[in-house]
Amino acid sequence: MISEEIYKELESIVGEKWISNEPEMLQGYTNIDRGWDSAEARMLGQNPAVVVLPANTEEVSEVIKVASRNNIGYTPVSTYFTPSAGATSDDCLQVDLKRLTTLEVDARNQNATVGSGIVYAQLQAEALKHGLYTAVPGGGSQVGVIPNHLCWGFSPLTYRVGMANRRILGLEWILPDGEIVRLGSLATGSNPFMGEGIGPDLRGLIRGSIGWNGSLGIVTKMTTKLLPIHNQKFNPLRIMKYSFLHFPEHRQRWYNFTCPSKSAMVEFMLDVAHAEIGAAMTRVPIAWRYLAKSTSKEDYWDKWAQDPDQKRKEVTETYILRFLLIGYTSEKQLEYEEKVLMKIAAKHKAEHRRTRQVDGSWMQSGDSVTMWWLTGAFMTVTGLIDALDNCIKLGEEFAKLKAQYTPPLMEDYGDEGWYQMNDMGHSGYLEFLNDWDPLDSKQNLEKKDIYFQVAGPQLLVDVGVHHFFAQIVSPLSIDNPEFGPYYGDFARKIKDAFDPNYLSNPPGFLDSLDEVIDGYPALKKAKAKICK
Amino acid sequence: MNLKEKLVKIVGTKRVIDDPAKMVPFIKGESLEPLKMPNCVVSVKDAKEAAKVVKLANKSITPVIPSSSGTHARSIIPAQGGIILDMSKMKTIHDIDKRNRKVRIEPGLTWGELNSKLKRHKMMVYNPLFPRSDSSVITTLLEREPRLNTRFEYGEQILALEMIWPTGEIFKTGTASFKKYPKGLGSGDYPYGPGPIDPLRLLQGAQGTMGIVTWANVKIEHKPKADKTFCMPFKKFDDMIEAIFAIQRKRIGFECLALDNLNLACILAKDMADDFERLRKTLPPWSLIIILTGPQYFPEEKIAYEEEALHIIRNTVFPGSKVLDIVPGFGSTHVLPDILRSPWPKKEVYWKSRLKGACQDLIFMTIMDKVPEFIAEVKKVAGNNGVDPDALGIYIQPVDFASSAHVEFNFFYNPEDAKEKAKVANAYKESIEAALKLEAHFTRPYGKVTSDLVYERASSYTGMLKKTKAALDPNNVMNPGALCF
Repeated sequence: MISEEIYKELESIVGEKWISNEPEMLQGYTNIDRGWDSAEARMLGQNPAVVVLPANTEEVSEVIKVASRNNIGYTPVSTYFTPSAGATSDDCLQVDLKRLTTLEVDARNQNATVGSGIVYAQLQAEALKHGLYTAVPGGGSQVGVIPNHLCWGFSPLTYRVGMANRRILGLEWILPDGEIVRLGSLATGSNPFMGEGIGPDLRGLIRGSIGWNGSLGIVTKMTTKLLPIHNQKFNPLRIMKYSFLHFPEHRQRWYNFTCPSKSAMVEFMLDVAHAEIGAAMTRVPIAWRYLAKSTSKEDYWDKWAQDPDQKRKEVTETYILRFLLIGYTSEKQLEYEEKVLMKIAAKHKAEHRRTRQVDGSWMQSGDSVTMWWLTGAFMTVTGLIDALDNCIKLGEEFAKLKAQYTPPLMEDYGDEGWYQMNDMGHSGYLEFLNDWDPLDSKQNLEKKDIYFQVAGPQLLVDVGVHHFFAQIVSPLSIDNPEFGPYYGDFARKIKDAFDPNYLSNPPGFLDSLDEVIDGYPALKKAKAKICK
Repeated sequence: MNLKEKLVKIVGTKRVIDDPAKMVPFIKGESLEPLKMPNCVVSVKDAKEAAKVVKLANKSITPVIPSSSGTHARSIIPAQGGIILDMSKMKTIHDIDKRNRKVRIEPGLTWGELNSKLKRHKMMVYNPLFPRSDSSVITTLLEREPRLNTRFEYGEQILALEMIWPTGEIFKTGTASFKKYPKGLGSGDYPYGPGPIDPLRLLQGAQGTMGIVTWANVKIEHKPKADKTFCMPFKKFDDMIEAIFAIQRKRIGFECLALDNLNLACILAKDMADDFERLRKTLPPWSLIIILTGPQYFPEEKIAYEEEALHIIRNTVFPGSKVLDIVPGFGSTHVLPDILRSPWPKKEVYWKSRLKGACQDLIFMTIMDKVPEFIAEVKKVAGNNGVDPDALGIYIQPVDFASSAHVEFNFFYNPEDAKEKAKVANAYKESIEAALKLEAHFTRPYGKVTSDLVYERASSYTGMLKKTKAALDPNNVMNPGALCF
């Protein structure tokens, strides 16, 4: 219970207009049935007790100090993308950061400073005006820049611009007790141009393979590195969901190819990386092509559900690769890279396909909403960044596992995941996508939950891969001893040091999924059966 | 059993040294600070031995100072005595993975050794300016010495690694974190995590205070098929800034660096006695050197489009300068790629010691536009302390497309001349103070003088570091006295 007295104290910080405990308002911030179907949200999701909207770093700090003094759990939220960005504990104080709207581009030093309320669409639009760019993540341009940098931050463009955590420069961080600390060059100066620490780099506390999802304080302001691109315009065409950007074709172009086999596709990707060309490259799952050509959910299903045998053949025997080339230096760079690309394509007998030189997802806007479009629920069961060969093998393993859980998972005819090149070809990337009906029967949702929270994570343990979403959707008790080993124990040392009362987004992802499984008989039973 | 006997039990008699005379080579480097002796030096052959030593150190509350290749440019200062953990015998190259462009190496492996091995595979690791031939590759990269290659996408060179926490647990990071690695589908190509903290970041720049790396996967790249190198002369660094920005924003070239004529002469002079002065006088006050590279396919065509873009920039942005394929007074630039992509030759006196025998580096990061202010200020401080401002070497390294700059002032001195050493020590200290006032960012505060001055100005960051250190190293055994711990 957040007392009237504490409420008044919070109100004195943010002002009457920016705090509420009205039930209607709290319902607007609910974490119950709000569109992201997950066991965590279903089991732990609540309405917050109070919502505050501080205006700046200092106000956030003051709010957190009040919470800390009074032993009140709080949950930060910027754009509400995941269940972690909602109340999952009793008497939760929701700290809505949407009023932190700083957006300043330092074009000369190739960076931008953003507040927690800024989303990628805004950042990229500003950056492009200065001949600079960032990677809009797969989650879409509607997601917050800061939380995405702290939690994951991946896109096909990371082939050249790197994972988002590499681009974190100076930042302001409210520790779980409300103290403000500044990292990078802000530790001793006023210019946030650099993220490296004085000696050890404390960015290592707030972002590892993934981030804390709000369980280790709040970053209110962050400077992110921008990378140079050409200064040509991307012309927007059409509106609403049909909108896209037209590439300046003399400087930036797509190239699609059909490869004769999976091995040809893999070697094609590696050869391009070794040739040190390209801005991005990715395999195109067949379902995406249907999605792109559909005008509605119904239209998609009309096409996707027809002739399953033919679909399975198409899904498992068609290998489409999509490359993005950019003439960063000049038009002649694009000509040069195209020549290299075509030579490598010929070597692998890949057939060049026609493609429209427009973009609706990678450069500025984001089409992730369509991922929910198919069935009303979507989740990636794993993502692996490692050698491309490993990504391919993991995709094969997950396709086999997924078959055992389909239905209730959406039939995808044996698709082996979405994979692409990362980090100039030093690694590949696999993301394994899943859709289901969130209004399905309880029995089917249990089966789906077992796949996500137990069977999938156990498969990762079996094959020796520990990666991102697995750390968020599976309980620490499954993989903690296997990776590091005991990686969670070291994270907990940091949590204990900086948030001894576990007030920052309780229970915090170190514990939340174990709590869910303990209270969920079907998962508990499945864990006992499946996990070694 | 006393500590020595316990150490002997772990590694054997021959690998524990406590004779002061025999320990000197393990700590001595170039430093203005006085040497301090450890209690002993323990040579380990693998991670298990190293972990046992660290666990023993925790039980006996004894400092452990990790030492990788055994070569220390700046001396190892065991501020509170303790055990030097010598890993110079750990030189294994576990795997050269050309397909995924990485190599897994141990901390004792030196630049000279790795370079010669990779040459046979026509591969390379992008290097900073002249790492010493016998210095550790892993330590150089952990310390974030800036690459000559300015391209962001070739950065983050350390991938997944194995480490020992300050409490003695062996731990693997990123996609090498599987207990049974290298079995399984993770081959160590992703560095971060596992989980929400990143050991790699905590180890970077930590000077052995946060743990010990026992192997690391490191990115390797193809040696270019062709190169074309240009030297652009400038009278002042100020005149060079727009050129650097324009070239870097267009992503022209790979390696790019700026040197004053003193440093460039120290590097290129065939003979210091006969050639140095002539060369210094002939060289322009400042040289911007850039290497255009051609990869596997149509290398000359790539170089051609970049060269064309470079000439357009020269005509529009810095028409007062030239784009030369010679270094004035030295000769053709075509030899520079081989020189700059190699460690300093082992047989020769290190370039920073050629002039007077020793050198104190003042290094920090800033933005490119502020570099002239620092040059003026440090020269003024040097002059005020009786150090000839024209005898300071200066090296500016654009980083990540010139979004920041590594600034390095080289105070050359005669290590046998106590008066000169004292002058340089004063000038160095006052230069740090002056640079801090101008908001220099000291990411690598080597030595007590520097770290004390820098951490004093970063109170909240320092408090945070101390809390982190206490959480991970509760007995403060890892290199105590270094940095702010």
